[in-house]
Amino acid sequence: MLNNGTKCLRTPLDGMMKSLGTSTKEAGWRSNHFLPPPGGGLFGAGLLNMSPGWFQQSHEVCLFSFFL
Amino acid sequence: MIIFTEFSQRLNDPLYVSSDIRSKEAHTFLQMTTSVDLLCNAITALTAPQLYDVGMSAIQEFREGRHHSALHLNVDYWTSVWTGFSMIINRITPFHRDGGGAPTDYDLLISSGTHKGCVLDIPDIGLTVNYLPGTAVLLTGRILRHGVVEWKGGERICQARFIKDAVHDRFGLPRPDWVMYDSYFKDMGLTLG
Repeated sequence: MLNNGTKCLRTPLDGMMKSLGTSTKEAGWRSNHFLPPPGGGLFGAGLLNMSPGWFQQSHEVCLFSFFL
Repeated sequence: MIIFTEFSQRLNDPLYVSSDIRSKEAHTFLQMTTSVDLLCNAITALTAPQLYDVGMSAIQEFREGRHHSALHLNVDYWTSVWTGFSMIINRITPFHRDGGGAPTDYDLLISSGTHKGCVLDIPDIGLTVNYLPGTAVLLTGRILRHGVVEWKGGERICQARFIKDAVHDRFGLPRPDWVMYDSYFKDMGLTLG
């Protein structure tokens, strides 16, 4: 079930990995150490944080401010 | 203009729906994995009943949105007693502790994917556990250092469910007490030998 659900997240995961490549800000360890299989495999690679409510995270503020 | 700001978490600050949960893909994911949420809730109810109780109260608070800057449709599909989770795909995990929870809060780590060999190391207590797909590990992540240095034979998914102590504070929810062996025996009407 979790495997199938994760396949649906491929687009945002790929987007996250691309943003790592273009970001000028040094990424922390949580955004490093990925080992995507050759060709991307079934799931790709990346990190997504999902919460229905938390305090503003600094990386989200940076994205928001970019579009001001 | 890019503004980098140090953020503190103050109790009167509003809550935000995380950006990663606002997508249509996340909407599909939440719908597809409701059964995983329910299984994880059941594990939590059995192993850390006080955490489960405050987590259920938190779900209601999330949906009412009284503490939010703005709500999002996908919050209606949140059925987990945990404050959030990280989906970590094909990544090794350096040894670390997680700072967001209270000392008595557990993290619930779910291993999935297709890999054939993997262990989770918890060196503070000299423990190494098999970490193959289908494994669930509850640990007090603020206290115990843990990590995964490698895996073999496939792809690795980790869903790390966490409690944010500051969010529960915002809701006025109490921290859970330490989980004790005694409470299990008490619930079953037994006494320790």
